[in-house]
Amino acid sequence: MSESTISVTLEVWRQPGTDAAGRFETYQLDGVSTDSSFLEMLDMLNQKLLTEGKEPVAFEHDCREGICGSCGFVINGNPHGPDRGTTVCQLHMRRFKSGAKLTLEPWRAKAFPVLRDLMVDRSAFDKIMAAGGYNSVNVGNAPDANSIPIGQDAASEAFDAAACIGCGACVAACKNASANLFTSAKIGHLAMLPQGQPERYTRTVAMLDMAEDLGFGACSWTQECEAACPKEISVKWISRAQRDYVKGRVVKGI
Amino acid sequence: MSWLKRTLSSSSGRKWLVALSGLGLILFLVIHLLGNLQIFLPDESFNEYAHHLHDGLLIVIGDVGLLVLFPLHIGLVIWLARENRKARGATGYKAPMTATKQKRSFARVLASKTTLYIGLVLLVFVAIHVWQFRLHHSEIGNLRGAILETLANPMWAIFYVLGSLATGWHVFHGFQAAFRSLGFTHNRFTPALVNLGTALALLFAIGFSSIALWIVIAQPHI
Repeated sequence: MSESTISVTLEVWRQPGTDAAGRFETYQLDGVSTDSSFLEMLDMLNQKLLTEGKEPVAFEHDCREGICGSCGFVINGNPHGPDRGTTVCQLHMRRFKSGAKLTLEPWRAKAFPVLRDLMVDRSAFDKIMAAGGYNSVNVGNAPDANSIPIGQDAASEAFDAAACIGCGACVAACKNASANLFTSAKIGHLAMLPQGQPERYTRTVAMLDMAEDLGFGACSWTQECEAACPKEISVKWISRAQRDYVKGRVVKGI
Repeated sequence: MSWLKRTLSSSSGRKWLVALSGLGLILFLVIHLLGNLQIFLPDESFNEYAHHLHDGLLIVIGDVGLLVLFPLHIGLVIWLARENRKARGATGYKAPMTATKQKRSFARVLASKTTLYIGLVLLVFVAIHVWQFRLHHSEIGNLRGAILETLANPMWAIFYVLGSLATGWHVFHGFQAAFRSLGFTHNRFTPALVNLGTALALLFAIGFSSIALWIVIAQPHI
């Protein structure tokens, strides 16, 4: 497909800092290559803003390969844009028609305060991980491969949850700003494997309680998180974590 | 008992109780519908059923059950909804909530986002309904006659049809969501439960509203 160029109108959330008031600014951008990624288009906008002596738009990014979880903002109401199973860095401008009006907003959640423009502070996810998203084992040398037999189906299913890159799109998409998909994916992949069993219930209770304490909402089963997730992680993990939570509390007495 | 308090005050524990109480209320609705449909029988069977019901133990179990389940279900949902509302933060999205990447049907997505509000509508509906046909009628006597008389009024018939549709809409999302909240998820059985929930929703919406529609259209003799 041959390269062509399009024009887009961008309505971008601009906020100088966490405690500063924010507002939308509108920018017109012409000559955007349809081969460019969404972030390359923003790089182009920022170059334009810099040459005009204005502040560039702050947005997070790192690998630009769709695997690191750094990038992400809401485009016209959809976290990571209109396509399923992709991060915003893997979204390309050929997806949009010339003259498209795109509204860019940061993830909106009380637990994700805006740092600047489209960047939010996602350290709340680190706190959920620190509450129990690990196995407490003394590791010496690497153990022999296959010393613990794990069935291929269990390993594959665990990997489905482990594919979570912690981008926060699930929180952004949820009407309750719930972190249940992230938290349950991190609980779920360890719960699938023998190494995760000793701390299975304490982990589940600690991580879900931490998410609640941080101000994330509860699950209403709208399933928006699954649709927004760049790794298409299933809401079944939320249900499984829910089961382990109640079992941990009631049966295991945590 | 601190573990119990911790469990039931956590959002997961509350969701669990909301699910259990919701399924209990659905069980009540099935019994309620089976009883109500007897109004289509021409003779005195509906009044006899009403008398048997009120003389028996089932009414006590029903009353106590509903007095526990209803406030529990509503109270916990309001508690959860208040926290959920706060979780978005002071600044919401400018783009409309209708944007979605879901592959599920429009009705299912809409139901999942409106069940809470339809629940508030149902609260008002149930309050009026219970006052009208239970508290207001301390004498059950000819209950069938009272129902036929009331629903012959088109305004009341519309009110009950809307209430029936709201009940169906609430169950359409609520039934399958309850099993998910209880921690039941399965590759084969979860889709089956989703379909069963749709069937129950249609049953309640059509079953209950058929009574009001029959009375207002056919105007059967009291």
